[in-house]
Amino acid sequence: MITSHAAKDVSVIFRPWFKLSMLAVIALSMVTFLLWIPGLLSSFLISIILVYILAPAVDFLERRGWSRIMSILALLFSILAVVILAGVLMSNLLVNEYEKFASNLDEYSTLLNNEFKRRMFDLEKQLGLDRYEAGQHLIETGQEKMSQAVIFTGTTFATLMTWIAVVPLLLFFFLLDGYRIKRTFVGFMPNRYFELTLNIQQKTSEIVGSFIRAKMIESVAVGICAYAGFLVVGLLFDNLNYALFLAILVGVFNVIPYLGPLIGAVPVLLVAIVQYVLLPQLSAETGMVAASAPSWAPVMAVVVVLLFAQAVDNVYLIPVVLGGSVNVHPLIVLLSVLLGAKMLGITGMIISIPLASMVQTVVREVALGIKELRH
Amino acid sequence: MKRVSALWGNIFKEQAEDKSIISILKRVPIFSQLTKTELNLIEKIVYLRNYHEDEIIFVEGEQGAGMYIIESGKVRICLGPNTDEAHEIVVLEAGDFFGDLALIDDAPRSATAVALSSSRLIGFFRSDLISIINRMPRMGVKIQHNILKILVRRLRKTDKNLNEIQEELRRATERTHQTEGSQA
Repeated sequence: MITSHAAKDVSVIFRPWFKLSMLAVIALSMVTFLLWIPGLLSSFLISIILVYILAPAVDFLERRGWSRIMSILALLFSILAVVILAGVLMSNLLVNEYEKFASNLDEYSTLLNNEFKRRMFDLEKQLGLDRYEAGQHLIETGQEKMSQAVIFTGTTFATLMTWIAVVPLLLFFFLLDGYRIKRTFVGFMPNRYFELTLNIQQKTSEIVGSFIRAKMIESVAVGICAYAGFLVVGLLFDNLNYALFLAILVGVFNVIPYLGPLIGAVPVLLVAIVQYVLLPQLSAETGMVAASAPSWAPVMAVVVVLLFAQAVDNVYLIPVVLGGSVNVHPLIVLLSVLLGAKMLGITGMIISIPLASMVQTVVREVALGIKELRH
Repeated sequence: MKRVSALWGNIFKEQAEDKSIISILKRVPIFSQLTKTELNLIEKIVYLRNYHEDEIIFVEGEQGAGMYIIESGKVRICLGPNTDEAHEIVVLEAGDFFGDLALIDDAPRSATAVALSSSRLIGFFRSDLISIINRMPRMGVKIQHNILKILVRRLRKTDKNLNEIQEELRRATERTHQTEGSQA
């Protein structure tokens, strides 16, 4: 191992400690600024994730001879057009489903609650536990959490407005001037760590980029699988209510490894149990004409659909699509999901996974790089 | 005796008066076939780094990130981690370039570079080359073709050096046999 000789008569701005201090000051100021304005931090993080997803498309257009700025504008306007078109075409289906689902959720969960309460009460009585009211407490807490989880994605109206206003702007500038921002930050590194930083930045960018894009493909595929399955269930039995909205939830939650499929299954099972078992049961009890007799068979079919989607994901999608990219450690997944949920609700849980992969890759590459540094 | 290195010595050197970054870049074989617009883009991509006297630029065995072109100053390339004159392969000056193999892969550096005097280097790195290939394949192909030409020229020179050394070795062996035969 050799050491670099000390600087002789070198201007203070070229000294390593000065460069590192400046970098720390800039990074701290940025974090403070992002935390200071509500919604800005999440907008910033969402934009970074979207940059990884959209950069290859911008590069593709640039390869076709378009200028960078035209490629970005064309892509962003195309996305806007697709969102508006999908909104117009699917508003009847999706928005109505969402609204009905949101308004019926209370009713559904009350029904579930009453049913569970009745059964727990019987069970507690049999076991002589009635004075503890453990089951009652469990149900109430569960109901409250579930209702929050499904309806409120941890997003207030103000945050949503900040995202709509800020994310496209940040996205535009990150796609356009990303390399300039990178150059400025890397430029502040002292000579000793300069090449190391460039290598880490390149590897992280490659690994995280492929991870985020693979996760997106995986989620869309699982969502499509679930929706197709729900349609088949609809053919065999009654149509599953809110099938499209529920399939989207299954796909979106699938971004979270290990925990996501379980979280995504909760609203699906809630709807299936209420629709196929409790509502017909209630109709029968109140003497109303039920659409169908209470049956657990469709619920089982829905469970099979969810298991099938997971099987496709684990047997085919994860090895093929995600095979080459980073594998986020289960403990990191758990901690980042908890932190994300605490800070930004369900949105935080979803965006915490790509960010966790980023942090894990950076830490690993820095540790490896420093170990190999010879001067 | 100075070591001869087809890998680290600048066998492409040309003399020129213009000291601007664009003109320095243009004289580097890797950028030789680029148009003025493309050179302007490279000028925006490259990093300008200042090194003080005796400062290490990189050390043999470290992962390389890219190549350097000397804008001003002198750089000593040494074999092994020691940077004294005894381990020197070559001293490079303004307009010379080194470390270009790192543009291809991140294999460990095969020599150590140290600034002999206060130096200003222009750095062109692998991540930027990959970005050029992804975004502007036409320009990327030109640069890659130039890198290939450099590698081929170095390979030929290495091959020639190897043949000369083998020939010398053959002659020396023959001489030894003759001497042994006459003694017997």
